[in-house]
Amino acid sequence: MSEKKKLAKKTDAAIEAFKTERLRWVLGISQRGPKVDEQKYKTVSSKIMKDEIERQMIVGEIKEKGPRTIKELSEATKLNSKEVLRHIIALRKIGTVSEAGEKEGGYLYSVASK
Amino acid sequence: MKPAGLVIGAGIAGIHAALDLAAQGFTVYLVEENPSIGGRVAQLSKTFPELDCAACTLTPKMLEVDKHPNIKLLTYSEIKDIRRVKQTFNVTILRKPRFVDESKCTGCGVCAQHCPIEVANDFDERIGVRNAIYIPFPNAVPLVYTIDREHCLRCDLCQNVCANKAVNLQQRAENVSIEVGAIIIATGYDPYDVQKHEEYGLGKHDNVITGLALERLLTLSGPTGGHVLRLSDGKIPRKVAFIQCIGPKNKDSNNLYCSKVCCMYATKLAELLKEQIPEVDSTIYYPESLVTGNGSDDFYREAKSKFGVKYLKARVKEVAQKSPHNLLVRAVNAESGTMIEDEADMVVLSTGVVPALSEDLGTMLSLKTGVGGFFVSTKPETDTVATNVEGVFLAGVAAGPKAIAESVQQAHAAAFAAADVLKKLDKATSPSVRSSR
Repeated sequence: MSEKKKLAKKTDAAIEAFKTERLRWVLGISQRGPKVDEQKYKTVSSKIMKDEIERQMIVGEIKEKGPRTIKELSEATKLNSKEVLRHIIALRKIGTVSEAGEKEGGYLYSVASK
Repeated sequence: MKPAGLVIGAGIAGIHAALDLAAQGFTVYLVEENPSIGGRVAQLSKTFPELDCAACTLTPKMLEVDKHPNIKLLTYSEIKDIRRVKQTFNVTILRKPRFVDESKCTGCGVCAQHCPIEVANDFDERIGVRNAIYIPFPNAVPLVYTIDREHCLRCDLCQNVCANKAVNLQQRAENVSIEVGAIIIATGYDPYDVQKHEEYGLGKHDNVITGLALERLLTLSGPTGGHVLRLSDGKIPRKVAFIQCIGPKNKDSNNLYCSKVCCMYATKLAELLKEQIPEVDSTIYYPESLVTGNGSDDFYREAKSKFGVKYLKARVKEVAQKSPHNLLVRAVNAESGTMIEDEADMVVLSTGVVPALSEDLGTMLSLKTGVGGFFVSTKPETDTVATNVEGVFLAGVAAGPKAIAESVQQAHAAAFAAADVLKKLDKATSPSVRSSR
């Protein structure tokens, strides 16, 4: 994959991430006012942003290529496999991904069609 | 008024004790420190030896507790003080703020769907995640959300989306005072903290996990939907090593006491693994001997013949990283004394049990403890539930390591003994006696 294509993919993931309610809420909080602890908000919001973009990269990859294993997703996104698994566990909990069989000693994950 | 009973701890033992006592017409206060009742059994995939789904037997009991008119359930609460006053006990209970009104929350979960915060869920042994407003597991009882203020951002989103206006960030801790005639202690256990033993590599190697973590991976409603995989890379494990006898040690490195349940649960877990992954090869490393009795010998035999589980009498010295994801188990064969090295995809530490919360309660009530800090019965041979304090009884693992069935049996016995005390108190204070003054 060319550098340009990789960058385009990441931008797509970021655009998708900013469409997610979670990120939109977080950004909304920043305008919400005095109750929110500023320091805590900064740390948490940047982590949420990073997580959401990475999750959209994973979801985008599955949407494009069909069910994928943790190993394949890790190779495609350049995220380490432990992180990919952490994202899969979170995405699984909210019903975005689910197991779809096995391949080469790992589970395949598909994106639920909504 | 009829005297009431108090049950401390709402795990499997406390639940059964409370139900028994309530069935005899007594008011029972059931106090639990966690947001939900259910205790350790709620974390398990299946129970030994029937291999029944743990939630299938536990959940109906939990719901029964919730519905019972005689049971006053105080969850997310702690015992602050107990004072003996003549024949009864004055007890102060601290109700920690959930920041959610229990009477208004319907458990719909819309709040959690809107909560942007995500943290590791202790109930899932930190493999799964939960929000800052959460229930620890889907069939929690009471089905009421709790806000974890340590992680909450105060964004108020949950407050805004709650149709019943149940979120109350101004909620404060509250003390409740009650008078009871009998107390059943069912505070259960915590898994032994294996982080103290660096040689086993927990926390250092991702693919070294505890038995409870494997329970969560095997549970259908768990973080992976019951699919067992390695936490470092998602690989389905093919070679698994179980390490036994990880518990409090004597100075000479022998175990201080036997936790009694680990041989059985490791065997059970190895069987469940084999059911899920037909190619899996499991070896159970045990340093001295396997627990006997209670049909365990048949269980080991079946594990070997039907599930291909291997038992190796060897003391594990170290779990090392072999490759980025694989582990190397180094052990000494207990019979030949030779060093063994074997590669594994995943290592499961069969941690023993230590008493939960016994120190404070022990001091408040001047209760005797024995080896390992477990509460002890004064007449262990004839009466396993009686303590050195009149009106105080023991049930479950609080009184020493034991299996689920034994915990339930002891709970029935404790409820029986407590009911006896309450009946006597009732007679002594009943109006007919008073009127004869």
